[in-house]
Amino acid sequence: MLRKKRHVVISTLIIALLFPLPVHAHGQAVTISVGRDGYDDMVNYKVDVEAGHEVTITFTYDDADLATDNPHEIQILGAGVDLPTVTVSRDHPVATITFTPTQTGTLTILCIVPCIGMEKLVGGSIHVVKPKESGLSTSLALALSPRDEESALATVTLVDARGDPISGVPVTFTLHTSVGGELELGSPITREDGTAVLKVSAAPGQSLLISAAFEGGNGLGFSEFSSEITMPGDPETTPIGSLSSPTPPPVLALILLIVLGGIWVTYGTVVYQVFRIRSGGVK
Amino acid sequence: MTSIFRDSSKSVMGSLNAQEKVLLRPVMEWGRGFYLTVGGLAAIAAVGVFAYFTQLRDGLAVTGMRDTVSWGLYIINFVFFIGISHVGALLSSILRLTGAQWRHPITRMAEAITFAALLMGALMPIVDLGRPERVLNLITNGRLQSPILWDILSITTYLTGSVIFLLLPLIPDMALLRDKFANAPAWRRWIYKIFSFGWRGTPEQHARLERSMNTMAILILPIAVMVHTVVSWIFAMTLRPGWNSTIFGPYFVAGALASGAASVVLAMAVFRKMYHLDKFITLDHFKKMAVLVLTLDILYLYLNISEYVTLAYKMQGPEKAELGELFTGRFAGMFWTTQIVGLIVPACLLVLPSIKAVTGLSRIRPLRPLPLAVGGAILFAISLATPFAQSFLGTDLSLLIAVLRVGVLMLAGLAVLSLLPWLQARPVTSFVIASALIVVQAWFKRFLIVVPVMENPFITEGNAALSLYRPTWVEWAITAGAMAGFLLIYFLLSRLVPIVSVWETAHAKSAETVAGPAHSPLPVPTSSPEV
Amino acid sequence: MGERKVGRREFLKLVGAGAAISIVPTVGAKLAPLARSIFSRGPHPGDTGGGNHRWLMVIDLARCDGCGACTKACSAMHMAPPGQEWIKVYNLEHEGLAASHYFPRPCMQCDNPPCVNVCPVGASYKRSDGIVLIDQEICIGCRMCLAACPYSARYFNWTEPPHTEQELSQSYSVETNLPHRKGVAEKCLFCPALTSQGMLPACVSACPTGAIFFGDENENAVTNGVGQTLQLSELLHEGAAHRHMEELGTEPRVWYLPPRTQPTSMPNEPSEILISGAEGVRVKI
Repeated sequence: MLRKKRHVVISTLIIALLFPLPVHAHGQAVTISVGRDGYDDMVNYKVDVEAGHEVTITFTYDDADLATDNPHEIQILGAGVDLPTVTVSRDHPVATITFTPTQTGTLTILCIVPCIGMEKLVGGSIHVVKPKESGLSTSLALALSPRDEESALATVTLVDARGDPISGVPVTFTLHTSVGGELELGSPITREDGTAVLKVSAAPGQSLLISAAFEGGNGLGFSEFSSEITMPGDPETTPIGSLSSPTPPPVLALILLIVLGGIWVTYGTVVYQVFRIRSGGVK
Repeated sequence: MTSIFRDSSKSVMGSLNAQEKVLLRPVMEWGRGFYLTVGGLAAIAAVGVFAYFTQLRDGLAVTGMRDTVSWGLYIINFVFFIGISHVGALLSSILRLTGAQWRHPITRMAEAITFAALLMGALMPIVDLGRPERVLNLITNGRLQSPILWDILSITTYLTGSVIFLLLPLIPDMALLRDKFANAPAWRRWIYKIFSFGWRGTPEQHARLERSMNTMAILILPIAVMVHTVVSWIFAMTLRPGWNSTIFGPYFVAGALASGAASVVLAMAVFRKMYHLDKFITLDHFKKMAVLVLTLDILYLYLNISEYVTLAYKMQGPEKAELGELFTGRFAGMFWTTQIVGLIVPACLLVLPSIKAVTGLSRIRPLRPLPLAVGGAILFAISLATPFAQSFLGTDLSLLIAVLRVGVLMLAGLAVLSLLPWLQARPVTSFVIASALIVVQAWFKRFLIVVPVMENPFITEGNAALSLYRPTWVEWAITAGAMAGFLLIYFLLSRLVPIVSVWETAHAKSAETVAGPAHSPLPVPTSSPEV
Repeated sequence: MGERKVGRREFLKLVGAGAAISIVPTVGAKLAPLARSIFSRGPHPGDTGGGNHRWLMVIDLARCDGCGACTKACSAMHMAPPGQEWIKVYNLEHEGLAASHYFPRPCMQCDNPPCVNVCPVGASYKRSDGIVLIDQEICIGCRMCLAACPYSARYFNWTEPPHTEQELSQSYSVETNLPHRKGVAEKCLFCPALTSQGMLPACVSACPTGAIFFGDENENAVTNGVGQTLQLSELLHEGAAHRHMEELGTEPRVWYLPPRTQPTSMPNEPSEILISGAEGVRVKI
């Protein structure tokens, strides 16, 4: 029991270090610096805000140390929002935007003008989540295991503060894709023993990063857990045809060798004849 | 500037027989005409080189090519020159293998055309490259699956074969010059010594030479077919509508042979005049070449019809736009001119001497070209002035204009008819005009193969103006420079070595005096002949 | 005398050719690995190898409104030379009575790429993650690839492109094609510099209607720029997706959903159908 908890703590720490977990910002006021090293100097900036509440984002200009001005025009895109762009530059180092996101989902923050560091400013995201229920603390554990060549099993165990299983509640599984997408896989209901299982289709050799979340409610609090496995087997990559490969298909090379080789060898015999002419004549 | 060799060569010329004197005179005497010609051609080529340096400095943006039409005049010139280069295979190989004895005076001019054309043709894609300094990547990083690599392999192979096939029959003539042209400058004496390969004319050497020439004759023909087939495949291996055609291999080879044969007829006529070779290049040679050119011309016309009629019947989606441009659009003038004036009219001109009915035409008194032309011009002038008269007088003269236009066309047609007996009496002129038309047609046909297809891709620009191709001065200058370069190399060759093979014609002439002349009698023309 | 010798030689050549042709396939198969090791070339500058992904794109033509934000973002990010639109939005017209619709055309990153097949120096090459890249250090500028691409997706630097200091300070990488240089070919690369960092390509992020989806075929999930992630197989199946001109045999990796979608619910998505009689049918999914 203790070992399992340490497992959970260590895995959570590793994952928290490797994958930038969203910054929880209950206060709905966020400050983001915008510069050539990314939003808040991060490449994959993510922030969580709660749906249904007013959000104020303050963008600050972070490139003041540059000799020339590097203005950024920030656009926030997403379902349910239609916002004007805001510009930060040396002359306008602070810009604010206020809105109330109504739908859950992900909003994209990107800079839409050519600027230094643009490649780091096209993929910031705001996760609009349902307000996290507070209540009695619950804890979730997620285990992933390969099932066969094409699928994996995600098993979740939901317990309350005392360690008793919580049954009959939905647990939402989400696949985090390698381009920052979050695909909802399903929301099975926990069984008597507090476990829920979901079959996830996967490709051989694929790394699966899956998180499970319990929304809370009825006096129970929110909890979530992420886990990752790599499927066994060799990953599938796109096959490259013989016409497209950098090396020639051997049959083609051989045919060319034989045809052209034959011709050049014949040239050689003719040249030989010419030299015999020479040796038989005037020097 | 009189020939610096004239006095000294007189004594040299004394040791030559009559035939050799005529054939070797251009080689031994470089007069004012020579230097003027070389100078003029070199000047044009220099303009081309200057244009190329502009392109190197500023990039290919100085041409008219853009992302839609990304291949232009350079690739057109490339295909044109490689096409012309097939004449060597045709004459030296096919005629040799079929035992046509009349080929002897013209094989060397044909092989020389092949050599010069291959050099210029191989140069054109390099001029077209965006990074020419990396051309060696084709060897170090070459991919055998690419049609361009096949081009490179086959063209270098063909060039080597042509050089060998040019130099082999040159050996006895080089020996002749080595022995008889003692007053040549040192560098030329050195060339003649090296490339005569110690020729003494022994039977053993003759046997080896014959054997080598037989081998090359058999070899060079499939190589030539292979060359232009792979050249056509840089187009046919793409998916573009208009290029994605299985017929391209034979299509291009036929076009190459036709334009090559026609260019030899032009060379024959020019050299005959320039070097006074009437005894060697006779009317009979022209007539036999005319048969060849006619056959290849008809073959090419057949393949053209094959290609375009099968496309036009279906008007398949992507091809519809391209065919529309060709048949009735921007390229209609060029297309119909190349087909009618470039292929059908030459065929008529080539058969003209055999049409007995034409001689009858000259008996019709009113049918004389000058009065008909004058009459047509007058009517045309009236038809131009009539609209002004119409607005002045206020009456409707459109019927008069229509009648005048019909009249102009009729008189033009009659004028053309009246020219026919005149042409028939001058068969060489007929053949030369026909050949010139075919050669010019070949260049414009290559233009029509490349440009309209590229202007009409699957997914077209909305703005048609952006996709039009307008060649710039750089491209025209480089084209002119390439043509001048080709002529320069060819001309220099004809002055360095006898353009008619001395030993082969002596050989043939002696065979002929034994067997008798091999040509058939002609219908006697009424006006002065041109033999 | 010469004739006979030629005849014998000819016969021997024929026999030799026949023997050679008959052993070509077997010898060819055996020599394949040897050939590969002899002819293998060095790595391309900046090529990080692509990982175990198989990238593809799904473009929902029903959502594209022709705004061109994708083109602007791509051109800005890659400092595309003027006149080049690596993702280009066409207004595709159909013959006759069918309506026109907007058609964003990135490079299709074909699995049977004509541009790679015809490249004489191997500058255009296909990576194992499905992306077709251009090594501009090798490209000789022959423009055979421009002639071969049926989608008009390739561009050429006809002149020296304008540079910024920032661009010139970078060392050349095939994943960015920066710094640009004259005389070589260019095209959309599916932003490998971004995707290797777990970000979406610029055009995907910039599309305000979320019409462009991007993802890994192995993960069976595609994401767009407004935060929607959908299961790939369901999307293609339910949406009756097709690829443009796939009958040409190029096997493109960009799928298109038809310009008018079926009013069916997507998995994991709330579906809203707005039908307004006055404005015509608008389907929002």
